Amino acid sequence: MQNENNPISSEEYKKVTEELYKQNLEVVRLYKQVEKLNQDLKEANEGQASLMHFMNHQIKGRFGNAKNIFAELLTDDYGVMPEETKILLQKGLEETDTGINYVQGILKGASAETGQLPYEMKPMDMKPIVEEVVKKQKEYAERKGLAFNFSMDSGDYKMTGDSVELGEAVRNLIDNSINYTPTGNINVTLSHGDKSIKLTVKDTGVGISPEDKGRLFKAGGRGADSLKINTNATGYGLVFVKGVVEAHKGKVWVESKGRGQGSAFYIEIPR
Amino acid sequence: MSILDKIVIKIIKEQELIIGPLAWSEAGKVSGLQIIDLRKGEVIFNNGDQKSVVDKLVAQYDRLFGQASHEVSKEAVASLVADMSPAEVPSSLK
Repeated sequence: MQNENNPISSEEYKKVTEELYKQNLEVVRLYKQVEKLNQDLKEANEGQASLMHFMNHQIKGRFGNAKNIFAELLTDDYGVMPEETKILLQKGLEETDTGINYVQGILKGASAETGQLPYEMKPMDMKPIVEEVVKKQKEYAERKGLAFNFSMDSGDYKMTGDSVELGEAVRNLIDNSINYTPTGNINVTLSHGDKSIKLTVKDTGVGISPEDKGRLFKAGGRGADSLKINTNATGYGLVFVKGVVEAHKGKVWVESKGRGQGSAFYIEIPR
Repeated sequence: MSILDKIVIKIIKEQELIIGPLAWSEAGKVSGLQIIDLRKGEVIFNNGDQKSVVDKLVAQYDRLFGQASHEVSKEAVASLVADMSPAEVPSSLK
């Protein structure tokens, strides 16, 4: 230890200042890296916002115009179309509708993720909402040759939330399981506790690898082989689910033992 | 503003990021260099060999903070030095 009789030598002093300098330099370098990452993130966010704006105003708008044209031509106001033409026009109408739904799905998913989706929170009952969604999704699953089971605990499912967006989130979650289940079954369960309502969707589908799990609920975050199984995947369905559930202070998660071993998706919302 | 003016300011500002206002006070001790306005970052060379003043500035930081500071000075002005002919470049920055 140094004292007044044995002051620090100039060599030791230099060693200390040099070491401090190196430490400060490291901090500055880290700071610059963080600043660069922030800038990259900001640019990526701005790029995404710009793309969403373009999709909303241009792509969705153009689809809407095309849909109106097909619908008008089918009214006979522009002359009676031959039956073959009507079939084509009807197909055109359906295709534009599908296009609008895709764009709408992506835009809503992105809005839900960034917290910009507006919600109308009011007292509601989750039971009829899930039942209504299940009824339609059961038809879809059975058309695909899948067994569809729904069970529900008796009791009260009243809560406060946005019934439209929650219904859409439930539909997305079940839809996702059906899309990724080539054969087997879908089991949907609605249950509740005193403080929360829980929806479980279990399937015998393609399953999820550990590396896919991390990106499943992120924008555009499909599984690695997702498009091979579901060519219509936008990568925004589960993003929407997560955004809506989290806006209700709930949580969504998935469990899967891996590829080919099915999945179980869970939504739990406090009430 | 000459290229050597720009080099001096760039070095001082880069050192300032690491050691704070001390970078300016140390620069003020270099003979041949005068700090005009610290806030605006204005300096002027007094009469003399400007290249040698830049070398003295680099050495001033080097003397206190070692080789790491010398590398910081060189890296800070690398893009400016790239546009200079070898004869124009102060030896400490080669």
